[in-house]
Amino acid sequence: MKLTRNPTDVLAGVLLIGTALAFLWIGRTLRPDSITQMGPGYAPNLLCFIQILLGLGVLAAGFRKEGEPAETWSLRPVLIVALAIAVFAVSIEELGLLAAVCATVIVSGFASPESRHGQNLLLALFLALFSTVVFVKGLNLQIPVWPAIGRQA
Amino acid sequence: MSTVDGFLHGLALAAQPLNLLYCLIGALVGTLIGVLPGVGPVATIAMLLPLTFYLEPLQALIMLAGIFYGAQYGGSTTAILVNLPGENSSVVTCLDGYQMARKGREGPALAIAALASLFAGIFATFFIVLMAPPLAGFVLAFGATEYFSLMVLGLIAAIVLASGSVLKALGMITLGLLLSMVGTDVNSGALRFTLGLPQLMDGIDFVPLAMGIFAVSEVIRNLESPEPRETLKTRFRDLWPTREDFRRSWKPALRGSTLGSILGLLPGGGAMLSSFAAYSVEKRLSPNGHLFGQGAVEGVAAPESANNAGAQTSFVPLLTLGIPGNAVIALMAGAIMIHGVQPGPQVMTNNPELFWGVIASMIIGNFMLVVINLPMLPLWVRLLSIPYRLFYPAILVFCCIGVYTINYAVFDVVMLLVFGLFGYILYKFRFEPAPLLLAFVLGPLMEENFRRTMMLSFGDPLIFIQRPISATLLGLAVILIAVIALPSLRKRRQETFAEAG
Repeated sequence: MKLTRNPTDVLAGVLLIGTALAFLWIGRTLRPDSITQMGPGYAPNLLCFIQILLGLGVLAAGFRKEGEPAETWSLRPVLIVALAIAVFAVSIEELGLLAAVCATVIVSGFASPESRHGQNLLLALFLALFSTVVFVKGLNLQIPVWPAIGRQA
Repeated sequence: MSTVDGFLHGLALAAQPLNLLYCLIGALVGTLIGVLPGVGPVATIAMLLPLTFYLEPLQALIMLAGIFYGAQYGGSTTAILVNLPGENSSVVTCLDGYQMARKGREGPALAIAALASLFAGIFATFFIVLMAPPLAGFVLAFGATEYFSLMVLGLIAAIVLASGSVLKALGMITLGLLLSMVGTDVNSGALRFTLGLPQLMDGIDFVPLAMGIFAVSEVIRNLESPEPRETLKTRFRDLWPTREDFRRSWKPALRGSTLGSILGLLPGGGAMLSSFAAYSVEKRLSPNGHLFGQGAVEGVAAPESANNAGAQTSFVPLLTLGIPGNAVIALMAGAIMIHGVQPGPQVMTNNPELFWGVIASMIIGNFMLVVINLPMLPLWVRLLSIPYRLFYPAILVFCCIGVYTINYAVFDVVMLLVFGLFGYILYKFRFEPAPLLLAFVLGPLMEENFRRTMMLSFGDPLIFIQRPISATLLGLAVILIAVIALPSLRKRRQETFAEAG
């Protein structure tokens, strides 16, 4: 017999308890004060305790009840999508919209095994132009279009 | 303003050229995402939220509403043609719709789906006109105690009617409430959970949270599984249903509209629950019940009318009680709060043009949708052949740009990333993220009302059961929890979801 019958629920319980403990710890300096004059810590602490109880319940159910096997995690899309967004965050102010969009699209292309990189290059150019026209020209948003070096002050 | 005057005034507003334009955009976008599997209304509306900042509140809401009910039309198209529900709410339409298509009757199936939706759209609009003002009037008299209890009931009902584990859904609620408390505490001015980051002093922004949990994590999830490939027919023989089809469909459509309108009002209800319920009810009531699953036209008319009606009436709790019942509506709540309009009973008195304008636009939008969907059908079908690998980079880019432009802050893009990963983890642990979003929206209000109640009652929590209205609301919440905890009923609930899914 396996130790955990429903690994997903066990992990879910741990997640609930863990986040509640984290909130309790981060907010440890917040004063709860009294129920009539609630301080900033009152409601969060109360919620954390409720959440810990719920987490324990989920955890217990995970050990007790048979469930589906754990989900398989595919790291590639997770990492690439995260990387693509990070690339945008890093590049938007320094390199401008055109470069940031191109970089994001090209990086995100690696997330799917079905991507074809030639197509993605075209998609990147199209989306870069499209977003410049729509967001900067059309909606007049103050996004830098060009790299910071070549930009007029 | 009387109800009739209000509605006519709203109709005049909705018919203004610019509002018509946004209604049309909403309907088109809604149909588009409805047709495309893997791109749902929640993700799309999350993605478009930043754009709505530049619109008037009414225009924004008209457009977002159009996307929501437009997706119900679009979703049925793929359900019927390729047995692939474009949206969750059209899952049951696959059962009979696709069977009709296999018998070469896809034209009538599509036409019946569209016409049943149109009928339901009109029905639901009048339902809202009748239901909303009394509801808002009732709630207007609520004090802090009643309001708190109402929000508790709303959150509880939302999780009970959704599928999945109740304990986990409750955990999502507490987590959502906790996340809503990040930032400066309005009462004491103390900084809570900001981790020393000045960007968090105003709290976690709604848009990166919603977009991350719904749009970004959805992209990752879709990329995990290979794309389904379907062969498509793009030529249609006769689109028009026979007289027999009409005769068999009008009653299911009427029942579906009624059921959908009522279920849409409930928190946690809305389009999906309505379509499931309508299908199973119709299967029992219809004289052709034995034909269900083999291409019965009733099995298309009932769920299609119900999901559209449910989608529309799910606006009612938001606009009258200030309580969003599902994730889409929570996003709408976020959209109008950004414009400084607090959703709730006062919307009807303080912003009557907003309230009536949106409701009236639904009628117009539904007519637009029939025109968009039926004659332009081949175009939508062709879109289905565009592979997902060309969509998802665009989704990611628009999310990034949208989030960045809220405050022109790179920090918000980082938050998008954080919540995208978080949403994916939630999905992997089989949490439903919708309750988290509802709780996040309601959090500040709940804390404030709780604090006020406790001040009034000198710290006596019994006040919640001493006030009759509050006690009734909380009693209902307890009953709902009890009902779900009973093994026999729990089994029934699972069956209902299993039968339909």
